[in-house]
Amino acid sequence: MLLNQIGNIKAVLVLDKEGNALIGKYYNADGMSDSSKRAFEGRLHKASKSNSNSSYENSFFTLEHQIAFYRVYDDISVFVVGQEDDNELVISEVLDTLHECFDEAFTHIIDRESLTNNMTAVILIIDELIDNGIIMTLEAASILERISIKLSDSKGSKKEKVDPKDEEKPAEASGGYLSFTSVFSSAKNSLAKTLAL
Amino acid sequence: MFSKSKKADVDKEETTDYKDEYTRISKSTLVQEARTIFNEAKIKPKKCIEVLNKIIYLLNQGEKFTDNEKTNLFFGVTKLFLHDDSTLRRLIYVFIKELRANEDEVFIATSCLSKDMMGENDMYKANALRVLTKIVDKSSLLSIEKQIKTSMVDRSTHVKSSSLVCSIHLLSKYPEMIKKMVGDIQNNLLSGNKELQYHALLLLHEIRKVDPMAILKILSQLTSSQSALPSKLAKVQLIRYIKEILLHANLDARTKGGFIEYLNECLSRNPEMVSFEAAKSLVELSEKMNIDIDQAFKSILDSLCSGENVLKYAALKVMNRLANTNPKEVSLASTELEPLINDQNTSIASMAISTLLKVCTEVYVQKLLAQISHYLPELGDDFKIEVIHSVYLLFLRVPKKSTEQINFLLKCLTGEGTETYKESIVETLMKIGIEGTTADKEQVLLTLCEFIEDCEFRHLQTHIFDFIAKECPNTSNPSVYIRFIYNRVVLEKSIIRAAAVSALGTIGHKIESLRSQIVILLKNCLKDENDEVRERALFYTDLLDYPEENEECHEASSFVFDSLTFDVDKMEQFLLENKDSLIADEDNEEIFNFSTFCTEEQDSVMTRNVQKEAEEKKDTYSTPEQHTKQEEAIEDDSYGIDFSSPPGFELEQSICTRLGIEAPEFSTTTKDITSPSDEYYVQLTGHFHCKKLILQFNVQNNIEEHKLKDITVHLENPKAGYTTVDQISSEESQYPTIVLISEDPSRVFITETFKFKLKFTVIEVDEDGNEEGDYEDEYSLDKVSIAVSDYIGKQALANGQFMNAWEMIKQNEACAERLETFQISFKTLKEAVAGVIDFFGMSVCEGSDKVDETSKSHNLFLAGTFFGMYPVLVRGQIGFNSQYGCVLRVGVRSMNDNAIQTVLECIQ
Repeated sequence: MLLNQIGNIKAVLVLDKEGNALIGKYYNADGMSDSSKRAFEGRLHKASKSNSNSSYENSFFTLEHQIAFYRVYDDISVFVVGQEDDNELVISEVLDTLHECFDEAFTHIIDRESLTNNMTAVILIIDELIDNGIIMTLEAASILERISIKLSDSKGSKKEKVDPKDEEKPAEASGGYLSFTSVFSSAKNSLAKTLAL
Repeated sequence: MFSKSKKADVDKEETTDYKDEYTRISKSTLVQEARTIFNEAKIKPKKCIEVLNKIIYLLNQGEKFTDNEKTNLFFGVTKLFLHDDSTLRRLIYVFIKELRANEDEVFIATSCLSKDMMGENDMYKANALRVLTKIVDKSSLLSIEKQIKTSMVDRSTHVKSSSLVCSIHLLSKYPEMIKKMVGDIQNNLLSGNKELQYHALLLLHEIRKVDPMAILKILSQLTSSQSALPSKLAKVQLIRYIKEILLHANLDARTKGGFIEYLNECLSRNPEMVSFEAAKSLVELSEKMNIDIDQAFKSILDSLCSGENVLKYAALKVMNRLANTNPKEVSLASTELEPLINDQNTSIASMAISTLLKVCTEVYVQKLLAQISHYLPELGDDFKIEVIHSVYLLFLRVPKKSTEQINFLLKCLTGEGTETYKESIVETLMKIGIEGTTADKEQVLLTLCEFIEDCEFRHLQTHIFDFIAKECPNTSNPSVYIRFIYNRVVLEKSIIRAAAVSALGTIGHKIESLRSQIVILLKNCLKDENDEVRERALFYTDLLDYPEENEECHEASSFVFDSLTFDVDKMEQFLLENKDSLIADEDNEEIFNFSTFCTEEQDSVMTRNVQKEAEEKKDTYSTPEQHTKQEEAIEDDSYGIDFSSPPGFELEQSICTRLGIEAPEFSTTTKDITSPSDEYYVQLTGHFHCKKLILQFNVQNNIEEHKLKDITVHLENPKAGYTTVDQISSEESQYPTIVLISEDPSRVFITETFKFKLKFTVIEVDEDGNEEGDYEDEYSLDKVSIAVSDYIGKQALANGQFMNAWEMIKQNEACAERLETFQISFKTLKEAVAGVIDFFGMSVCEGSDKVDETSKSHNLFLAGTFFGMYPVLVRGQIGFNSQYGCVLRVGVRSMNDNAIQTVLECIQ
């Protein structure tokens, strides 16, 4: 909408395996009817299938003068759509931020079940990330803080392998590093608190 | 970064039927539930959150709530403000934004939100402000202004950042209000707080965009010290603004140099997005001005070898663009580019191929094509078509290697592929055949002949027959091709046999030496079991089977084959004008001469086609869809749509040259701004060329004692988003002209109301024509609207043809369609129908302007052309009910989605 704006986001979408939108947030798209939105989602879904995808890195393609960045998870995929002539790295970083927030809010399991179980967090994260197509911030930590979900400060902990048995053990801190399970449960607690569950 | 739990694996094995509480939510149950829960005496936040989640989810899915339901939900939710649960409050904010409640109800929330604004909680403050700006109306404007002003100097970054973003949104509606805050915005920009800079910069630029000097000041200020902008987003934005000002403003050498130096500095020691934006800008600027891009090129090259796909792609896009203007430089990067052809990501691979095809040297052509054909089969359709198009560009650049190129295309043709893909290959081959040497032509013809042997697509086959018949007379040995065509007559289905017979007939007419042989072949077809084939064969045998010296027969067959194209309108006009003389003098053949009505070229579409093609060659960023869209749009003449542009005064060549364009894309008809009897009779014609609006005025002076000199046009109401880029006085052109440029990139077609005034010198003249002195004067004109209807031309269709055209346009792949419903305010059905016809300004088809007043609804069919080239079809259904008023449901189909969007805008 603004003249020569960088980081003009057209849509943030979460699609399921069949390409149906679980979240379909469009910005400045008053001229777009619901049916054309559904059709657009269908084309996004189809195009994302033709690439080889990994959930560890952003994939992308151009479609109708727009560029879509996306990540494919187990049974959902997350899209951020921008203008073709925008700075690609900026749009891509929006998706990175979204991923980071989801990863934290979903306690590292990004899938459909987590999404529906954490709908409040999903709604608020997107609300804090983009306002009318304008990027509010690229800092995942600020977003999480603004919706009262704390980003765990020790990144090392996330890399630790998870032994399924650990999950039964009570959370414990060891040598300054929190183990995965403790992060898991503390995040869950803090989340529970914010959601007043 | 994350791990899978066992559960996720189980889910994966489950098939499509995924169920949770969000699948198939029933709207009515939810509304019911909301009513109960929101109205409970003691608010239970957990329950409320659950329900709000679901409502927001449904709103997001595009589920429509009735006004009644909206009102119910909205009132229910406002009660929840009583509870101080922060998550609940946040969801209420989102809910109000998403619901878009009725204007006369929404104010109820305003007081609650204002209360939140006054409180101590930063999170409430920041978000309540965001909601308020979305529901603001005139009555609450003052309080909003106060709140934004205080928020902008709040101690919390979060609140300040919110107020900046809100101001950006408010700026378009209430510019005056935001402009008052420039000082605070500037403070935030220079505060060094990286959370605020990006939004402050966006806002300040948007406020100042009509004032280049002010923009220049901001940019100079920010580039003077590197540390001024720690935010990378702000820095990327700054670089983009610098590029634009360098491209569009006239700067002195020192300022220019300063900016270029700044861009070069940004190349290193900066986050990737910043250094990349700088490199890209430098490359783009090098197209227009003489600057050294060595460093930028090196930086792009580094990005090309990056491990990150996004960066690789972004860099490739820049390389691809650079390849157009500087292929030599890019060819230095061949070693880096080649491995990218095999990249897993198809966007990267396709961009790499397209770039290499643009720069590769003669020696390398064969190797490159071999490499591509190895990978091509695995790739997507769009991408394949893109490659085929690039091969055509390669042919234009390196015609010497046409043999390799044609062989490559043959290989593609025999491989697997869809019809559109095959069609693009066939068309490319035909283009090469027409534009290449005779040897190329022969190779292409043979390739196509082989292809029809086992082509499964009928329309391609008939298309090829037609091409062979047209082109084979220009080859050294046309008889070769006849065998291929006749083979089809023996082997194929009737529809192909008929096309083959026609092709043989054409060849027989064109090549005398083969005529007798062809007549024999055609006679064999006279026993065909299919009526059509038999009749065609008979027709052509009759036409061709005549003794050579028979002039009359020859003339007859020329008439059939070298078919004349008539301009029926011209003929009708001629007949009407000369009716009397024709009747009076029956034998006078001289008056009535067919050739006067022949259009010279086949029609204007063909010339347009050629121009388009030339543009496409230049346009490297266009996607394959776009090409097909354009090409198909051109083929649309099949439903007899006339593309001639409406009359207006033409844009003089000198003005085109001055503006650096070849010809305007579209010109409107001339309209009167003043009446012919006014003191000055002013007419206006608009011309459009890619965001430029060129308005020409024809001024006729009706005051005998005055002569006008040096007339210039001025915009009286400068609009945000439009800049006057040029003014041409009546001394320089017959018509005084003003050139405006639209700065809003999202608007493809300009619709706006302008108010102009004329300035001129009046020379007083006495009765004998002696000049008696002069003075300056002004003349204000009434408002002029550039409306959607200015872009629309009428297009009459024959009775009964509308549904045909409607279906035909749909079959085209590029066809876009939209369905919308509008509430329109008319008192009777008849008025509504007339009104809607007026809205669109198109031709009424099937006599659908006649209204049966007794029926409840009326169907309307309209046809027109948009921008002089895109056919647009409209089907409207107008329902009328004395209680609810008038509703218009309208479906629009066209090849151009922008056209549809713009056409629909005329209803609002």
